[in-house]
Amino acid sequence: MTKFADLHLKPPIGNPVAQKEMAELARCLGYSLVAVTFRPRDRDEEVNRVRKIFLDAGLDVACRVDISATSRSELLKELRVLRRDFEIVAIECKSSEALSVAQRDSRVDVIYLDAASSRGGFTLNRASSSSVHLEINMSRLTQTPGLPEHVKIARIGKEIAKAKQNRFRIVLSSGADNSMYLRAPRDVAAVGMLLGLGKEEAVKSISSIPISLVNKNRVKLGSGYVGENVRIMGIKDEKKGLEIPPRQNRS
Amino acid sequence: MKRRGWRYLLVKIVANRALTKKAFSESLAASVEHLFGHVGLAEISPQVVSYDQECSTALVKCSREGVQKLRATLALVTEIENSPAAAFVLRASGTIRGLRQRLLLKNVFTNPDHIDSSLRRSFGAGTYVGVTENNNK
Repeated sequence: MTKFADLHLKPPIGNPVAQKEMAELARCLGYSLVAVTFRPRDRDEEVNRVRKIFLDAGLDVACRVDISATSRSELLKELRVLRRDFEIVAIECKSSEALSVAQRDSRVDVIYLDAASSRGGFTLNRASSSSVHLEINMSRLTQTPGLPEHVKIARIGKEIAKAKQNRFRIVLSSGADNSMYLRAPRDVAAVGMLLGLGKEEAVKSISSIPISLVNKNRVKLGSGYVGENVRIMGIKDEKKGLEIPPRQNRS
Repeated sequence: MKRRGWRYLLVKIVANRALTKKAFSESLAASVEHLFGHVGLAEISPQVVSYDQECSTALVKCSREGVQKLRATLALVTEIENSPAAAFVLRASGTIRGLRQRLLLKNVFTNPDHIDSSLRRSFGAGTYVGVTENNNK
């Protein structure tokens, strides 16, 4: 059976009732993994409380942070500070400078464009070493007021075409900040097809691609990770036996 | 001549106020027409077969070729009759009987008590029917 993941949920942090409602609905709709967006300044107790609500609903939870940067230096500074604390690091690209840096940096997991920056001259050009995914949020179609629907569809369609051309992996997410904007995974895939993805591509964009991204990052954040395919299995100590110092993160 | 194939979708509607079958049906047709035009509407041919007002669930029939377009349309529904609303496809099947059988099968294994009361309030009393498992085919 296909497992589905929504990498972009934004439940209101101070509202446990709304969080519980979103968690229950996500589970009912068929998701098995969700990434909950936190702010960098959110306290650990708050993060753990929200995680517990989603875990209790029967969902696997990943912690995500959205960095909204306009300049290169600002983006690099945020990445240095936040990378090891979150399983998913997403960049909201508000300028072409930030987009240019984000799509080449291996610490970035996901980039997404806001409605304004997707208007015209954005350049998607993935570096071969980077593992950046382009995220398409359903909330851009359902929650962005002002623009006519055909314009939004055309812009996102153009983004997807450019992403495919540059061999970006595409992730479809809801971007929901309340339960009214959550959608069933296969419905999201159907919207992906409407935007220019093939049927299999669309289903993968909400199932295997986000799940493998989270799994890969969990391995990286786990203790003993050195690099691609290199992991410390144990430190041999003649007297004490095997011991690996654990790393602290929010996962 | 090849016989036209149909698909049946069980759709849950969440809205701030109670909707009638007519209101949902008109809204659905308008949404399909808005997204795909008259040609798309003819191709998809969405029809509301039945509507349960108490549970806010509808059984919608559409052409087999248009099922993805109908799903996309339902996913993009954000308001019905000028009030906030959302629609979720719970199940899809080739026959109404198949849909009912799956629901009955699910009903045996599901426990309505484990659904949170707030969710049941927004989803209606029949929330537990068929939505506690994630077989969203």
